[in-house]
Amino acid sequence: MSSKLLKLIAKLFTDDVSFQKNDSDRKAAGSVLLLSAFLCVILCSVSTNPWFVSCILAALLLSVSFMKAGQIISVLKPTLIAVAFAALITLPAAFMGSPKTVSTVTMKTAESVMLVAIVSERMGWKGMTRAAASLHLPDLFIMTLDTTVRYLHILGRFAARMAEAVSLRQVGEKNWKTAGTGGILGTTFMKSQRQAQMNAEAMACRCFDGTYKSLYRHHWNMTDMLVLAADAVLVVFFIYLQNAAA
Amino acid sequence: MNTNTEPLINLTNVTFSYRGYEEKALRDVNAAFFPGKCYTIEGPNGCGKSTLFRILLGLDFPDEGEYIFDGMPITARKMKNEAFARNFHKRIGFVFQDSEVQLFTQSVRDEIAFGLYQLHLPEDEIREKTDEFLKLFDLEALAERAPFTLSGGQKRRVAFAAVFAMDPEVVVIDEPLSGLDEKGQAFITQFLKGLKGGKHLIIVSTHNRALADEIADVHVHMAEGRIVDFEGEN
Amino acid sequence: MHIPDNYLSPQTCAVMAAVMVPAWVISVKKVREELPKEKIPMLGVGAAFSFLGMMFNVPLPGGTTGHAVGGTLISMLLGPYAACISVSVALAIQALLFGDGGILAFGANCFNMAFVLPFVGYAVAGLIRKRIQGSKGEMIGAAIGSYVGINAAAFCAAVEFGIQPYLFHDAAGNALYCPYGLNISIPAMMIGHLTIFGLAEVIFTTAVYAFVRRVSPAMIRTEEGGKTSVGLKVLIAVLIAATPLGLLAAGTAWGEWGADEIAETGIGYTPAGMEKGFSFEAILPDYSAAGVPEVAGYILSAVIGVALLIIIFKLLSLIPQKKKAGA
Repeated sequence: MSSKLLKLIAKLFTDDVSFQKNDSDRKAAGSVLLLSAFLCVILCSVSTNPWFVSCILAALLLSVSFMKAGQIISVLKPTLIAVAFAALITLPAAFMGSPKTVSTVTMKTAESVMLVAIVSERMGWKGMTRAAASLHLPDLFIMTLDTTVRYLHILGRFAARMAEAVSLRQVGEKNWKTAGTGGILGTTFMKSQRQAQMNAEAMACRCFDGTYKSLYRHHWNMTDMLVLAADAVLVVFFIYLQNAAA
Repeated sequence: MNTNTEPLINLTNVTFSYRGYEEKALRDVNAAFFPGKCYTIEGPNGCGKSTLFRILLGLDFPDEGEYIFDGMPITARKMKNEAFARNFHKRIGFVFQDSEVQLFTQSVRDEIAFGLYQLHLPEDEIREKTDEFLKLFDLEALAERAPFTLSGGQKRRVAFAAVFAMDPEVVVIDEPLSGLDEKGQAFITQFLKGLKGGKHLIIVSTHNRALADEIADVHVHMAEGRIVDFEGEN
Repeated sequence: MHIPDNYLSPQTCAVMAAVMVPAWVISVKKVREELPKEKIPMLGVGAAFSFLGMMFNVPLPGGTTGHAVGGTLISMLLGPYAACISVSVALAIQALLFGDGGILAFGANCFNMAFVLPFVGYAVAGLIRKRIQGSKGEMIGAAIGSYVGINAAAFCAAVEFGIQPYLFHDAAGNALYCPYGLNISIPAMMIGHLTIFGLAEVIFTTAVYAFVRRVSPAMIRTEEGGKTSVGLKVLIAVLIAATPLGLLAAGTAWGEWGADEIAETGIGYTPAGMEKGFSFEAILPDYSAAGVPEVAGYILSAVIGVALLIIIFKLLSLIPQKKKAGA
């Protein structure tokens, strides 16, 4: 449990720092990445030509190969798990008169999970909330998104410390596990509730009237253009292969 | 040099106890705070400093007695009026002891801009002011970082920048040095010293005698919910 | 219950997202109107909490574990509209940052876990609280509400899965998405949720609810007249009109299939599949219909091969580094 929490905290932190380091003028906008990912997943999902999905898979693998080893792991791990799960769950269908489902669903699952993992690796949670802002979602939604990430970080640290404390005290008592879970979650919740209340007061002290905006502006750059060009190629390729298959 | 004869903040016979507690957190507090001065509130833990601050900020209200801010009584009923509350908070800023609860946006830059957006300034001005305060508090290198991943000292600087960027007349600061290392303490002390003689009315609670001696025009001593002494008042 | 992409058809996903849009709009509006501003940060707390709750394995009788969603809990504390936003945000972060649940299927996942779960849980808990007075009613309401809530959500997910093979298959009868019909998907989803996951949700909800109730009763949301229930009714009406069940209307209602209908669907394929026998070639994608020159196949394999090699070498480069760090 706490190792999972620590990983979560570490991810939120690295996302934050890497956003700082990377020059935003050279990176694609979060909204462009997100919409392109969406487009790609839809096309793959609709496609009836296995060539299309194979080519996308190849392109994704190629882009993964340009990443750092650490990033590769965080992309491939969820992908492999999803693929294994998809293969396992669709395998019986092969004996039920739907044999191709196994390969199509498994391949498409590999494609979509890898794609989202790559986008997540490139974008991080900051890109995500910024994408939400540039897609004009309501302030309330964006604020909730930011607050959630912040509390994941704060409460994650808190819960990890508490779990550690509980496990240090845990000598031979049998029912600690259940009691510990309820207590840790309950205490974490109470802490978060107090924090949220003080947050609200701090906001009121700064004249909060529901406005929640960011000064961050993304400047249209070459990477955005390249991603959009790739989207166009993708659509043309899709149409061509779809006609060829028909 | 005390040319201001009218106090900006006036507390008369203020008594307060938290709901569900019998003991009074503040007993019969009388105080007048003048603009352009720096007051330090000193006293042991639990002497009522934080409660006094909550009253000053309009987060709690006196059970008995009166709190007058620039001629206006601050009451629960008045603070229910959003326009009134916003106007009041525009003039009085608060730096919390726990910076973590005070910072809620996803980047240091946006944190400073948050208050300016609430004041409905034009965006160019917000950008300009934000850059100015990033520089003033040596936060430029951290501008895109999320406040919650920063160290304690960095967080405190962000909290200061966010409050001072809104340019309030009164700034209330709760334990500015708690939890900071030497470098962080020096930075904040230096900043507060720089405010001396300016237009702000500064009210600081602190356990740190050295800080109080450096910055205070008036030392206010509290004990058991009462103000026992105004040291340096003329 | 997080549905990944490609188990549901894009059409189904579009329908589910279309249902969620008004739900989100109404929720945002309701929260703005009804939730006091000082409670707005609690939305983020709720989302973070739901997220963290899913990371805790709740120990269950019998030695197994399961994890919870917490939708009913949040709706009992902050109201169902706030819960809808909170859980949606938690799901968005899971989908985009941790690859849990697909991005096309986001609408469907939100429908099940951020809409059906909190609203049904809240409604059931409310009914019970009205019948049984006092703290007993609250705890029983929390328990039954959360149990019914998560099972309603699981049922919706099962239906979404189950309708796929009827609606989307190629000319040869191969399912394009989830291959299992309702006759398989419903029991498969429900057995787990009626037992392990349902119990986990009940334990999670009641444990935290009891704790909060004891330590800070002011946190518990009090009923504020019938204001919410009108909106609730409207949303439930939307639910009934626009659920994936609507897609089924062309076919027959669940559980009323005739023998010949079963033969056309689900296990009904079996004879055809068995007749041909199971051959490995059949599961490989059909390359002949691709309309791509033969040489492209070589290029594609080369690209995949090179990419895989680079990946493997980069991963290998990690090993000595890790050892150094350990030493």
